[in-house]
Amino acid sequence: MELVNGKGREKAFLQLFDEHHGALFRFAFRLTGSAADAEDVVQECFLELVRPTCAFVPARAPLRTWLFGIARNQSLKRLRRRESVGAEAAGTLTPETELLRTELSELVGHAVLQLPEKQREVLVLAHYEKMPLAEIAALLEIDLGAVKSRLQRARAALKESLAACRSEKK
Amino acid sequence: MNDTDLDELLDTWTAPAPPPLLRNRVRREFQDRNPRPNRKRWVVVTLVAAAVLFALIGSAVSQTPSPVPAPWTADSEFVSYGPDGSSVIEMNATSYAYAGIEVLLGRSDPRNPLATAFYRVADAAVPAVGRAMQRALGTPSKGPRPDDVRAFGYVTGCGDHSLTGCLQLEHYYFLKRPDTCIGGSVAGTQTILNHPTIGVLVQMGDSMRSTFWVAPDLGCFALRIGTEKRQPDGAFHLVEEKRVVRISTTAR
Repeated sequence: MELVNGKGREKAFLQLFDEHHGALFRFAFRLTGSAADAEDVVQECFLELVRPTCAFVPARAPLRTWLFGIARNQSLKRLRRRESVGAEAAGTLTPETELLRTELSELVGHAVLQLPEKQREVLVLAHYEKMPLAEIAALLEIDLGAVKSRLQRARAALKESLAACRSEKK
Repeated sequence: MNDTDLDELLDTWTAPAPPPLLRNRVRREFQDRNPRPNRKRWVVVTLVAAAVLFALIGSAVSQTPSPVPAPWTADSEFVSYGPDGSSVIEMNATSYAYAGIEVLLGRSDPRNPLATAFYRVADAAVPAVGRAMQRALGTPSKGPRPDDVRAFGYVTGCGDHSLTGCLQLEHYYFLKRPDTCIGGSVAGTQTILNHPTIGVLVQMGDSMRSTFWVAPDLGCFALRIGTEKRQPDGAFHLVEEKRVVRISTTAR
């Protein structure tokens, strides 16, 4: 990447970090349900950018899309690692978090984390990051129809699981 | 539940802000994995520049005649005194008198080898650059001639007879009368290193004064210079001293 490989390398790197790390952190947090994992994911995203083997090609996708792609892969990798070692799976509540379930936001977070990965990532990108569906399609390397379909299914599932919350809220 | 209700519910789940330390962590990782090429480049550029500078200095210095046009040289200590009477030798120097001027041959810092190295480079570089500039600009020499013996106490950084382009620091300077070593009021006499000296007191403002113990048989060279500072009670206290510890005869 020209900007990062050229003069003022560190400054350019930090500028990119400042511009994108907030959204990447939120995205990773909502995919993994863990702030610690989200930190690691963000770090990996930016270090990937400066690795000699960096696969970012400006002509193929905007930097933001590419970074979200790395964040997604890293987040899923961490989720699978967690599952394979039998640790707390995403969305599985510990006794501590069970107590927090009384909080509406925790309930919503839990419901989102219970979604299948493919639906969850589309929902998070579309709803929370306000990413256009076409960009999500490019990021996930699927067609636009598949994005819409996953989003619809995710929303339907959430409507069902959160119906009780709605009545509580009222 | 309609779409608006769902959106409202989803919005209640907020993500925490990324910790502020994350930036430093990523930056550190970046620096660890990417040693700064700029720093390397600067090191190389600096080394090359230093090599060129030293080469130029070496060339200039080697062209400079450095005979000692005096039958002797003096080794001196520059001492500073604390309020409790403690003393520290801050510099050693070797010099000689020429045309009423003290010409510095070399100096060192007994406490700091790096400072000594710096002195050597600076003492060689500054006069060399001065001479080079004079040659380039065609500036006529303004160095004092042997018969223009009016002052002493300059410290210079070269051994050039004409003193052209020398580093001249008005380190401890005072004018003396052309026919005598005395340039102030006489404070006394004493013998230092077997040379009779006259103490000449020079007042520098209200709070400082120096006494130059000059040796007439050494061309009015000062074998001891003590600088005193007035204390709150009005008394003067010795704060700095240059003292010659050895006179060596030069081979001529």
